[in-house]
Amino acid sequence: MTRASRITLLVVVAAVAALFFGPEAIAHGIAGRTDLPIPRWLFGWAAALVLVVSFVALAMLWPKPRLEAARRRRLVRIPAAVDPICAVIGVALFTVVVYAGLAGTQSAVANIAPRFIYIFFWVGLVVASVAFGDLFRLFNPWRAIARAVAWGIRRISPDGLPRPIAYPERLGRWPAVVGLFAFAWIELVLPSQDRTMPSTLSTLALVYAAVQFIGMSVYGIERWTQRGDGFSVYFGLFAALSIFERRESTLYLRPPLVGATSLKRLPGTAALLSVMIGATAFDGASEGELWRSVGPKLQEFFVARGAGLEVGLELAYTVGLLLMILLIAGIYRIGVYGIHTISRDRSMSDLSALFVHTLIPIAAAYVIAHYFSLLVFESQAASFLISDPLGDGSNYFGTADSTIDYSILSPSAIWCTQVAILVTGHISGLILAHDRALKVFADPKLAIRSQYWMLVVMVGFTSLGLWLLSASNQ
Amino acid sequence: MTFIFAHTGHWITSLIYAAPVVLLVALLVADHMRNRRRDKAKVGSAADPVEAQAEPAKAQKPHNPA
Repeated sequence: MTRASRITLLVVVAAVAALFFGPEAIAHGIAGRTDLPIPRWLFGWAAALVLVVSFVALAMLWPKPRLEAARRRRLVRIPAAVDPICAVIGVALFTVVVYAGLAGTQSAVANIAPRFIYIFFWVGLVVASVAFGDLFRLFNPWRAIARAVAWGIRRISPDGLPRPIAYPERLGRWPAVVGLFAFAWIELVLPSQDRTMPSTLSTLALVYAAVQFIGMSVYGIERWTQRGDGFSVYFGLFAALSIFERRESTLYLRPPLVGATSLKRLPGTAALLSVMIGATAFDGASEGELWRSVGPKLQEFFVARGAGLEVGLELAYTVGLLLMILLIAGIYRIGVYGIHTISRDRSMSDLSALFVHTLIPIAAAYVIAHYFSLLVFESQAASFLISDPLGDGSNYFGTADSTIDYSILSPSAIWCTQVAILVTGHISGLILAHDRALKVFADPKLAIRSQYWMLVVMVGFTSLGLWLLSASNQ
Repeated sequence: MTFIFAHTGHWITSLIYAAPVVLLVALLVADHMRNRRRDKAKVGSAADPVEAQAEPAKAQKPHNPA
């Protein structure tokens, strides 16, 4: 184990230990909701303390940049058959889900399409990407179909396909921002009966795939996949945190977080991460007291100006979603401004691009913590959905009668796990920011000073995340 | 803006989550102001030739960029 790995491990262990043992020592025996020994807000304070301690530990124990030059260890050569097999599985899954949505029952709980898209794909694949690397690239159905079509055309026509247009650098990751925002809007703003309607989801999946085919045919399969396809970019960013990295046909092992340091600096990346964090944050906020006070009034505001009740509600939620994304972007901007006060010779946009990768573990922590219980409980539905994907009474594997066990995790265990995930994510963000600052500033003291405001940003995101979790758990 | 405050009691207690952020910001602002006062004092002493002669090393010290 390298020194950097030992320090990372030490910080994570200290964070978790402080979280579970620290608060009880100062507030033992105070009864709270869901049998927690302390009130939830005290977890927030403890988490902030852990981040401050981690910041000090990094300043003392991490004097040189380590992550950027970390070495990869060759693990194994990936057999050539893996890519086509995974591609076929990806296309088959896509086909089954779309077909089930269109031809199966329109009950959201009995049809496989809603749970597959919102649970297994949108949340489960985030966890899988962080753990095992860029799995979506392997199984991406529209990339697989496009590659198969391109291969077929090359076989038939000796001239092959016309060369794709050069992808405009200014576009950066902005098409992915639009794609992800559209998905978040469907998930959070559309009325429940519409966003979980299997046929609607299948139709939208086909529309999304069609847009990707157009993008790939215009700008090239790989270039569009890496920059324009919202889901590819989304899962690719989470995969940057993984210890596994694929280069050509070889699998490498690398220290955690290292992949994030080699993130390409492209326009739209900060916006993309703000959408990723903001969408999850708004999902939590929309279940809390503040939104229950503000949301209906906002709806009334739009209804009074001629919108129908449903449109008024959608407009209110759209405004809420946009405001949350802007809040996240604003908090990050404060951290960048703090660095700018130390480094006036660098522009704000330059510094924003340099430190934007620090938001990746925060986005991962927000998604995994917020949807942790949903994932644990709802993923059990796979056992009966696999036997009856269309919800028409089939029982292919004899598991159609299995049910979800909601007692496998207590509310207290869920809360503690969520707190641990959030704190680990934000400590990871601190580590990435500290390591990058040491590279940007030749003087380590200046590097540490530059990170004071980043510490505020991390504590701010942690407090916001815990507040949202506590609000949505009530 | 009245509607935001209509049910303040329901969510105002949530602001307790923001206390660590407020504390950190207050510390940083205080540190920033202290540094600025110190820089101003150094500029003032450097402008005074008698004081500058008495403390040449202090007067030549580069300013803290923060």
